[in-house]
Amino acid sequence: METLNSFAQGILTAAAPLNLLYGFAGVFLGTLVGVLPGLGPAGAIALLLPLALHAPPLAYLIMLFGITYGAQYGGSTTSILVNIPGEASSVITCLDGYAMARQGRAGPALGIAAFGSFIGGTVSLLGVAFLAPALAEFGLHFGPPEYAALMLFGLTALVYLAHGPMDKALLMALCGSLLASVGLDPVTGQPRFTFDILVLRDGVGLTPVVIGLFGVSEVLVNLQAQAGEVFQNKIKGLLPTLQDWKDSILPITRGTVLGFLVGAIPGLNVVIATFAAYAVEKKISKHPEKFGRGAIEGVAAPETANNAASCSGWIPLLSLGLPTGSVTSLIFGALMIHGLAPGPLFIKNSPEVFWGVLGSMVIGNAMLLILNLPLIGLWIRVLQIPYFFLFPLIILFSIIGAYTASGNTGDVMIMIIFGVVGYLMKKFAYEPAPMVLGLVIGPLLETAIRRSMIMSKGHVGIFFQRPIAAFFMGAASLMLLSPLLTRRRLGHEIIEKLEEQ
Amino acid sequence: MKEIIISGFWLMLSLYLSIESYRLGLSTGNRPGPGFFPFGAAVTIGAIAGFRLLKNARPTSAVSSSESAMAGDVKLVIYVIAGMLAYVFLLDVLGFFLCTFLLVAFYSKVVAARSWLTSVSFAAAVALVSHLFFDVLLNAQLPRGLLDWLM
Repeated sequence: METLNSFAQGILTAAAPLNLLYGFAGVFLGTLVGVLPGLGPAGAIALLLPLALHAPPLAYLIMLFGITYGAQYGGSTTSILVNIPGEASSVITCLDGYAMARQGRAGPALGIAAFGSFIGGTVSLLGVAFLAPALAEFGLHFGPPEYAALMLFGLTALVYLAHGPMDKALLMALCGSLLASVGLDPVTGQPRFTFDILVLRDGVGLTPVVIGLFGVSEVLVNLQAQAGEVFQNKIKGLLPTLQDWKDSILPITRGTVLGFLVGAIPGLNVVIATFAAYAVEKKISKHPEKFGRGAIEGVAAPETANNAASCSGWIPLLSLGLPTGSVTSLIFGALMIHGLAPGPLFIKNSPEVFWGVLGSMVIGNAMLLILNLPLIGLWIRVLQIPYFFLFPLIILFSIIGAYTASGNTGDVMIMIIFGVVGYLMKKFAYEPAPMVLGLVIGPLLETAIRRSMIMSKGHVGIFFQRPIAAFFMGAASLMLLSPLLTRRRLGHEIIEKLEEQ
Repeated sequence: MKEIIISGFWLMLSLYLSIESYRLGLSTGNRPGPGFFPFGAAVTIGAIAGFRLLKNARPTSAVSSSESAMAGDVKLVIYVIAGMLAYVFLLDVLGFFLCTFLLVAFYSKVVAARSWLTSVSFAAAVALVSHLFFDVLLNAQLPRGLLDWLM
């Protein structure tokens, strides 16, 4: 009952005019970046990080969260209309969504995707409201060894589920951790890897690195990409028919449950939730041959699952302080900028922020449902803007974002360097997410390891003697070593299918 | 072959960072020193690079995805990076407004191959709107440079 009261209070907080305005800006921007191939939610959040210095904390966070789930809506629009997934989580929607559009049923496909997303997102939020505080209570028993083990587990999970080879992802995570070492040592104050460059004494900033890796590098890669086919037909009848609802209601229910569960597990991500939801529907369908040829279940289930997973994906961050991907790492950074340390005490110390953000997501999901269906024409027009007009703006916003974060051109240079690094990483199939996660949790991980070692007087056995730490270390070791023994990774088929797309 | 070169790069980087971390100090008594954490990370990078080097040294008929990674025209990429570098070096001298105008005009004319009229008018519009939004409305403290007397 107390949870429901807090949740209701959170909705009221989120309904304050300023929070509503920021929430609207967030979901609108999120949908926009979801529609535009080439600038994902991570890039958009990276560009908006410097705004943290000027905006009120709760309103600002509401906007950032709005971008993340707004992008899920936007991504489905382009998947259905032009067969271009705006987001990786909408890749699977292309199969049946685009087939429906070609049959003149783009309206019901878009409609069921929007309704499914709303239902999945809202139900998943209720799950977050109950589960996150309970998990945070459990997290209160954690000491430095448990934290170190948990962070190592989170990092390993991300590496394990990377699209490419695990060793490459691990290299990136380690590079991120090393980047985090640049600057003054937190214990002794000794400069590390600063090369007598003044701007490096404060460390490598998260903002210029992520703007470079996600914003600038995307532009460099996309400049050589070709524009997709643009949908020209008129869209009629956005509301699904009664038969569409009959066909979709169970896939929506299953997609909600599956998406929530997959999203809540650290390391498993939204993309895996969509593929799993699609696979389940195809497996249990009486007409599996219809999948890929315009089956509405093939749109309803993954679109519901991606929003449910997108919401439950916040549980590890908000309850344990564990970022599990690039977007959660950026939000982690944004929380830190405002002095809100994510972790088990976050919900206890900042209840108005936790419940306010949760409440804003309920309102935001409703906003998306009301706004997006009438705005589909606008998103189609956005898709028709030539990339050659968009990229100078993205580069300009990137420069301004990096410059205003600290007010010096040194950070813009760091951004350019990481733009080139990100470009090369994409060309050579290295993923940026593990590097960002390494950079974000590197200082926390180092502090936790050093504190643990001080506690144990230099013995590493402390990570294996305490039950919770030993559990996380065991799970991390299993993930790292299992591919060597089995030559397979969990969800490998999903990763392969994603790469084929 | 490219994978072997890349693995070699990782090995060299690991070696350098390991030595530097060792110099920082691995421990002070029972306490881990400033070099302890980076040393662990650098050594692990070396181990992975060694593993990749061995893996890629085996003869294989499959063409590595990275073999053709740098294929294609990289001229546009170089232009975009050059534009950003010029922007950084000129920002304090010319100021935000002029730098933005020049950058967008350069990208529109050279990278996007638009006409002079389109490039100049697009650049002027972007410079003006971004000045009004970031400088005037958000008071973002961007350098004014040569046009300081006007703004």
